[in-house]
Amino acid sequence: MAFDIDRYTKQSEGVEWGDLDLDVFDEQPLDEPTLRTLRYMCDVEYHTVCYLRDLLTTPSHKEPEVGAFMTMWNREEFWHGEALAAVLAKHDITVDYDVLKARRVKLGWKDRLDPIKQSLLGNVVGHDFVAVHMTYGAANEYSANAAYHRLAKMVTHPVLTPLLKRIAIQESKHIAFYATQARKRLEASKKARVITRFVMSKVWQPVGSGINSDDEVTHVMTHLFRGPDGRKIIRDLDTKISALPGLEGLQIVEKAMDARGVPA
Amino acid sequence: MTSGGEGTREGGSDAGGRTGDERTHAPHHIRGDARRGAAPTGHAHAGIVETMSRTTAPERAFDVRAFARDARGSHRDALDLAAFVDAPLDDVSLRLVAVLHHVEAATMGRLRDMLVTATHKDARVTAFLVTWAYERFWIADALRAILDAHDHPTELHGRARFRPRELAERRGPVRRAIIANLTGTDVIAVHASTGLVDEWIIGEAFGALARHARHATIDVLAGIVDDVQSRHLDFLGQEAERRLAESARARRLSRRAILGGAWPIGAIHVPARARHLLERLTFAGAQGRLALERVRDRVAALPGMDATADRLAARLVA
Ligand SMILES: [Fe+2]
Ligand SMILES: [Fe+2]
Repeated sequence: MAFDIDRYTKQSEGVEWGDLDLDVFDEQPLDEPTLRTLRYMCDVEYHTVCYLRDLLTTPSHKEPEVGAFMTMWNREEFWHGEALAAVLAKHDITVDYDVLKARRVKLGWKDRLDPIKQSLLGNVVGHDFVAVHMTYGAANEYSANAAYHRLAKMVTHPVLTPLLKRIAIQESKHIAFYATQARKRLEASKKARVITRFVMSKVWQPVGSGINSDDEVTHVMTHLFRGPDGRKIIRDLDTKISALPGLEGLQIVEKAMDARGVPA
Repeated sequence: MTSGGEGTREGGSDAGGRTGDERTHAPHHIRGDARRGAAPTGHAHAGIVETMSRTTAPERAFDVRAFARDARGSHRDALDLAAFVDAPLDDVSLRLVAVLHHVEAATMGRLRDMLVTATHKDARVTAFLVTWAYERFWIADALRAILDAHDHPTELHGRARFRPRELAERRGPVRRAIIANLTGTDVIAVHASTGLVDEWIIGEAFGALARHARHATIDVLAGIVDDVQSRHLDFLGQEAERRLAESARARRLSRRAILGGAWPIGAIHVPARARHLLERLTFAGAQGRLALERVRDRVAALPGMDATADRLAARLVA
């Protein structure tokens, strides 16, 4: 249950795909909906550094364990972006620094105000705001892990499936950190539980919602989670998230799917 | 919008610095100056062509992706920590190690200060920063291992120095974000140029540590730091050169940041005595004066930084 930060930092590395033969995509290319979903995932991964900025507005990064994790985590997510970009490039979809920059510039004032908003909120709420970040992070990592496993299973592709599984393994380490942190901080404070429950039930949206259009979010969620199998994964996610102290009974992921019309 | 929200605190000196600094405009080269002798030569990175970005500007010689791929992780296996049992470091060396650990370990805070500005939109710069932070983490870890081997505390105690001109360094993320929203992309030049100055000073401090400690393990560490830093210097140098050469505003903002800075970056939170120790060991004495001249010359070689370099050098020993 405890998260071994020394072990994690020592073992942290960029996800490896040099041994996978990407030329297989020439013979077995991915279909359009899969590429669209991968593009979304790739964006989310690369966007982590911007999300990190928001996490860093609370003083939690001064705790050595948190700072150490964020350093490694940020880099691992960057490499997830790189790996997916390499797959997309094999399908003539370019995600390079210029494309990413253009997208970040397009986010405009909302993006500029985010760190200010986060900081001010953090100052008002105080130290308990860290619990919100950790819980949010846990929910995001649970979702990422589930999404990669799901897509790996859906495509059963000789290259994409192993790559996605490798990424998912790293996501499960991220889950371990965030969930451990969230649990500890929620257990310690009633105020943290109340604020976190409020934020998760009112504010939380599927990963990537903030940076992608509604159409893209709906496409990805439907592509990955439609039908009974998908719905089962969604309910599992809710079970895990609502197992955190103070979040009992929440069904935020299923609600988000229903709101977007993802068929069960 | 000229000085924007940056205030006019340095206004008078800024104007003075401008007349002195704007005389030189020729393209400069940062690399190629004598690096410390103990350093391994490292990889030949200059000249590798950027493969990821479609942007074909010739100045984009630094391959960020290759840098990210070759990132240097833990150094613990390379350091003979057992050697400290028979030959421990003296107290002054340990205190310098603790100061260096303090500033290297504060990297997440620095990353935050940069990410709340337009710097975070430049994906090539953030790709660099992700790996830069990772490598600094492991330098801090190596320093920590040395402190641990001596049962020396990692925390520094005592009151920080107070200098009105360094007040800007105490800004929190909200003020930094608000100011940076007015400053725009010129802030990237400021982060590159101050990052460079920081790496130069840190590099000299490690050199001073090696000179003072006279210990094989510290020599190895200084060599590692030199190797790791060389790539940070390549990137930051290229970015600073280009961005400063392009924009008078970037030069003005950078001059102000360099002269308003507490060096190395993060020193603002270092207790006064510890900060003094770092400055004295690094820049006092015959060897220190040479170190100071090296820093001054490198700063002076940046576009528009002639007079700023002299003023910075004077402050580093004040
Ligand atoms: Fe990821
Ligand atoms: Fe993750």
